[in-house]
Amino acid sequence: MTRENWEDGALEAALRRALPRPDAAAVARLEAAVARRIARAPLPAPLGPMGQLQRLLPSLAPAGWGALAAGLGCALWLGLHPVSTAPIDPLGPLLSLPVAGEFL
Amino acid sequence: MPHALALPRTLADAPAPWRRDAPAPPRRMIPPSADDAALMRAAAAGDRSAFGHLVHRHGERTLRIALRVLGQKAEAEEVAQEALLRAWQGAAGFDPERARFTTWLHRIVVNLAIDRARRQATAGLRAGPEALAEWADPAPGPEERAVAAQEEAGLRAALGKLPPKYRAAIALAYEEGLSGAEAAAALGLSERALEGVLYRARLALRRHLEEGS
Repeated sequence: MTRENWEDGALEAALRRALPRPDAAAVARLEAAVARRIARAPLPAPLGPMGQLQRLLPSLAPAGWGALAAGLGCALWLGLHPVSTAPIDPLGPLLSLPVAGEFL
Repeated sequence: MPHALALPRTLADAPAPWRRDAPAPPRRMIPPSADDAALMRAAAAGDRSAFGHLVHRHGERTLRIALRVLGQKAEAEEVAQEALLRAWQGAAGFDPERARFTTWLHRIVVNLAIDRARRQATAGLRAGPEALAEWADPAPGPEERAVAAQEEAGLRAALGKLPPKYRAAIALAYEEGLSGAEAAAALGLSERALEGVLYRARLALRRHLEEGS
């Protein structure tokens, strides 16, 4: 096949033919090896508390609830936070710098 | 009242399940035809034969995907074994409501195969092109067959030059019976992103083929 023949259709067909396939002996070998290793392997570890929480979380709190909770939290904090009546010095934070006295 | 009399006697005769010497309840054998989720539930409870049914059902595809990413039989068998063993160890964590068993298993095998291929490339081991070219059928035959075999060898060599992620995308995209969504999920991509990867993989493949021809 020349280079101009490697069009989509030809490439698709060639890929379908060329992609390797395991032979039956390899599959049988795999099944036997896995059975042998699993017979010696410990039983699957039960799900820990974090895993159970992770599994339950999507059903308890569907997607979007996190953002809603964050928004509500911010609104609550802004609502309850006392409004400061003291005049604000915009350069105030700079005065706490060790070099503040030299420039300000 | 025969029933009223029979009931307490039956209850008294029955072994109390909370007693330490109570026999374990008989484990119900799960049929091989059960669906993947049921087999995984049984496997998570420690039923090795249930997991054996799953290996029998999906082992070939697991091996095929590993082989298409790695290109080497022995390496592919090792990776497929490792993937199935990890599926056994993580059976309790598998949640059928979040993903199908096949998607979950394909993701394990694809990740392992890509990692292995990258390690091979870093270590400078023979990987990809030469290994995949081994799959060419060297048997002599009619002229057309010989030409086709040569083309396939060239294609395999070109496939071997692709990055492992591109090979994995091609392996999953050309896997029969696997939807685009499943293939994308196995790679941890969206369907649109998979299309992009496949497009770039085909471009790279065509470039390697042109260089080789």
